[in-house]
Amino acid sequence: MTSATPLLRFTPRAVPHADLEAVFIKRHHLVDKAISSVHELADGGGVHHHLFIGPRGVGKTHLMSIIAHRLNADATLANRIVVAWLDEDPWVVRDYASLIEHIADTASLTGVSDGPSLLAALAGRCLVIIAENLDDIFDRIETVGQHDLRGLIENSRSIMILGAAVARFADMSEHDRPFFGSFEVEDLTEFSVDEAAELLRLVAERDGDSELATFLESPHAKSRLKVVEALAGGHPRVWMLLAGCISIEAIDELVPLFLRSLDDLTPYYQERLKSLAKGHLAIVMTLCGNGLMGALPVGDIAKLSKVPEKSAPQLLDQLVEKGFVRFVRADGVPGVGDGRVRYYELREPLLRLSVQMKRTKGQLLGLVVQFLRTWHGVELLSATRIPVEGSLARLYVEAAVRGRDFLSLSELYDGTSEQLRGRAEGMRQLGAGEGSADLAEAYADYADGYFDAAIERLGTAITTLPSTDFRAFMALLLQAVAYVNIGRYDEAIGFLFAVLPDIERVLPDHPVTHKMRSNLAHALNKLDRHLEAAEVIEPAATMDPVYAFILLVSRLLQGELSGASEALRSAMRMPTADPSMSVEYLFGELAEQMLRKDPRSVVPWLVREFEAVDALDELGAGLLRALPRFLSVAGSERASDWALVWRHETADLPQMAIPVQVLAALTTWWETRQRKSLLSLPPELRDIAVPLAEKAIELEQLA
Amino acid sequence: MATVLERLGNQSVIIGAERRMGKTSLLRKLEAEANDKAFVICYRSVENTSSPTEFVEAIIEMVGRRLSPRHKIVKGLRNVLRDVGLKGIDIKGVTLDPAHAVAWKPLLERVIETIDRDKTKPVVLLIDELPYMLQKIAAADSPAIARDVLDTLRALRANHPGVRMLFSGSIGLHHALRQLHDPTIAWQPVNDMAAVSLGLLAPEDAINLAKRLLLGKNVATDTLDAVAARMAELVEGVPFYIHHLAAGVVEQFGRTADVPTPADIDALVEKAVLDPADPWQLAHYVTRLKDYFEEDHEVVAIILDLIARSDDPIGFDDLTKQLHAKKAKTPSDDEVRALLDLLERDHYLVKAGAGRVRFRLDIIRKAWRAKRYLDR
Repeated sequence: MTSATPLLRFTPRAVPHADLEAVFIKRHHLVDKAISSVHELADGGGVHHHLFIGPRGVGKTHLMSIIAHRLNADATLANRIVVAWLDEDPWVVRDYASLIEHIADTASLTGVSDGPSLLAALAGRCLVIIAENLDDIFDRIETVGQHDLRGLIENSRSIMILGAAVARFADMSEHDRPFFGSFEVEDLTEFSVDEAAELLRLVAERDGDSELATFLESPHAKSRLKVVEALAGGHPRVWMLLAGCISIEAIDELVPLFLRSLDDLTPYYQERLKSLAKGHLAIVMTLCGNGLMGALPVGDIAKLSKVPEKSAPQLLDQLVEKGFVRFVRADGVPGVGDGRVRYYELREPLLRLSVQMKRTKGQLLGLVVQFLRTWHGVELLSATRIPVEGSLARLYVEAAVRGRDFLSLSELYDGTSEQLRGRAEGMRQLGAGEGSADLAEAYADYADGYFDAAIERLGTAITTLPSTDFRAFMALLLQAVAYVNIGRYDEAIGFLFAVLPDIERVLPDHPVTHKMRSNLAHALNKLDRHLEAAEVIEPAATMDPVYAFILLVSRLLQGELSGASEALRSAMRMPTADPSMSVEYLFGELAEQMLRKDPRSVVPWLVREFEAVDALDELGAGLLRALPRFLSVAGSERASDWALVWRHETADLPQMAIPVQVLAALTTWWETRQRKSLLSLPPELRDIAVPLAEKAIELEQLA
Repeated sequence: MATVLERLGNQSVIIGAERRMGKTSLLRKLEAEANDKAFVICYRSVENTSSPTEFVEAIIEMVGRRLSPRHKIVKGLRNVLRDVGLKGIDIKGVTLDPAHAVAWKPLLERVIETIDRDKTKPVVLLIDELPYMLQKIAAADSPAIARDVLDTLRALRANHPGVRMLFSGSIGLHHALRQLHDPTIAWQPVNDMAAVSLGLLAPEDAINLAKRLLLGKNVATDTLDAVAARMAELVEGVPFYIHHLAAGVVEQFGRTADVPTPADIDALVEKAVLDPADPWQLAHYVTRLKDYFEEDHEVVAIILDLIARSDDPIGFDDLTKQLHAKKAKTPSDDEVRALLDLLERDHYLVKAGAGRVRFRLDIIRKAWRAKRYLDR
């Protein structure tokens, strides 16, 4: 790394303009908008005031600094505007008169004592007031000062305000306040993982580390960033903190790095807590919680923080205005209960995490982080990997036509469903044989989950294409896989048993062959033909952890525990990008199968075996991943049993604490359908639980 | 604008409207575009004016800014200032000696008299935020002084028909008058002025505004006509809500390739009405009743509930009958009439023919129903 000027995360105002520009992302349109308003003002057009709203650390000062610098550098505005960039913490402002003085000071205007002399000092130029913490300033000058300011602005028509605040505040949002509706309000949202990666990439580029810049775009880097995002809520200040100390080698250290950054932030949060009045502090500390703290309704907050129930709503409103607390809409999560009830949680997850870290000495947070790491690793990989059937088609084509110029053909059946449909259309227009187009559309249907439609189209393709054409064979294979997907196992089994010897002969030990074995074994397991399933998959079981897991399921359900245990060990020995992927893929099967058995007969074995191969993290993630399917077929009583058994069997395993707690919240929710159960989870876990709950409802309705 | 100018041709005017309906924009437009052969138009917000003396300064200043220094009115005003001991000062930024506080009335009379000296065309004083200034004077000095200002202005209007005044403000003047009212005297300080209620935008203007707000914002324009029409229709041409809706559309569609549809507009309105964060500040219509109607606020709320529940406009007899059924201690018919009048001035209600009333805006009715939990 070259040594560039250090980026100061708390004081962007002190950072050189060029450096701020180099790492500025996402909000260029807001800068353009504000600057175009200034031009309009200078040209004698209308007056537009802008207000940027966002929590601390979201990048308001960075944004305002960019605007201030660009205005000062704009030659077309020279001698036409004066910029008054007020202090970030405007202690000197006590009332309207001192505000005017402060404006004059920061704009280097002399001889100013009141509104009229300010206008005189401007000498025909326009004034742009840049005010971070505008809410604070309005508070200090009180309503009467706001009226005076507005009067000055209205009569001069040459003054505009570019303000920022942590949240909407009464002085701009209530009808009876002078500045009601006067601002064009822009909410500054947190960074997504992609945006964070972009920021880190820019910082790396600025520091001359192009290798890191490229690496940050990899799925591996993003899976780690996702964990930080889940915890930090996409808080830009945290990304800036991390940006300076990240490297390729340290990407797996990103999470510990984040924890250390959190430690750096602790004094900052302590300062902020100190500024709170007693009642406010009690509420904030309640919402920080001792354990996994989620959102709470007003009544619970009053009770837990011991503030009078009558004053709690008002205190909460004030905390919302101060940017400490936000309310969560209950109707954003599935379930029953009054969707209009307001639940509250801390606006900045980092505040909660920083307090919790002190309270639990980092233990709880460590567990959450560990779980999220596994979870997001899984999710990211499954979202970015090539669909199995897509890769199958490509592999087959490559194998069958090696050396011939058919490569372009293989690409025809790869891509998103939209692309595939577009290609089918193109094929039809080119008159390239109906079968090819049908096959492309069938792939698209399959990718979209329309398995019945895919089967029908494949039927057309199979009858249209010459039986010697490899595409006919691809169609037959895809049809078998589609049959498996819609539960027509008998048909799939019949076909696959028939073609397997031929495939084996043409492509011995080939991935396509193994894939067909796995589909066949999977279907056999579904029909409780576990012994046959084990025989079919065994030759492939050493090829891929997923296949080893199919063998594991077959053995386990067959009651052959030592064989199952061996399969698990063999799976965990295999080198793979992420072993939890296979657990995730197969745990659903296992869970569904286990509905028919007493969970007490299987869960202890699973916990013991996974612990033995050091794969409890994967077990936890897989357990949750499989839950929607499990819930959709299990009665609510069965679901509660399931959660109880898991809780009991993992009580002394901290690694399982987080997934089991999420499992408990989800099963309680399934039983009661009360939103409250999901809202009780902190946002980083709620974000995982809510999609699972929605998926369970969807599956239940389909069933 | 045409209506206001037409009225100003004959008399002074009070403009009433909710906040963010475009009052100030209208005043600005009048000043910018109607300063022609027919009128001299001067604008001034008296929001930062807190005494009668400062008010006189504001009047001098607004005229001084509009007319050239050589205009005979300006020369006359300079003479007036000289007579009170202020010589050679810039008439655009006049500050009177606080010692003149007691003498503001004769000074105001001389100023208005001077302004009326040019008989070629009426001079219109657009005085923005007058009700707020009156409240401030009443609080700082006494309600009697504030009343005196209004009475003096009324007398001056009668004696100097060449000077027209236009009062406007975020607070309805009728509320300020109610607060200043002395029950022992009959007081009608503005009944010589024409009241103009700022109408909603005409449909085509509302549609144009909606389109203007969406163009150039990276929102797909395939459906622009239909979407803009739906925006204008759903909020019945209230510019403030059109602005909010446009911001919502830009937020939802400005960064995607998705094309907004009229149904999306319905959803945005629904969301705004139901959102507990109340981004459009609709709860204000419920919460402000206490301030506006003081001890009557409960009965007013019940009246609005009854009207909000009814899908059709409701007649007076029907309303009072239902009111009796709802509330043990009901106001007399006359009192109900007076409250309905006030509700109409506060832009809640509008007469719907055949002696019936309804909510002026359907969106306010929706908001009222939602905030008061009337929807079953």
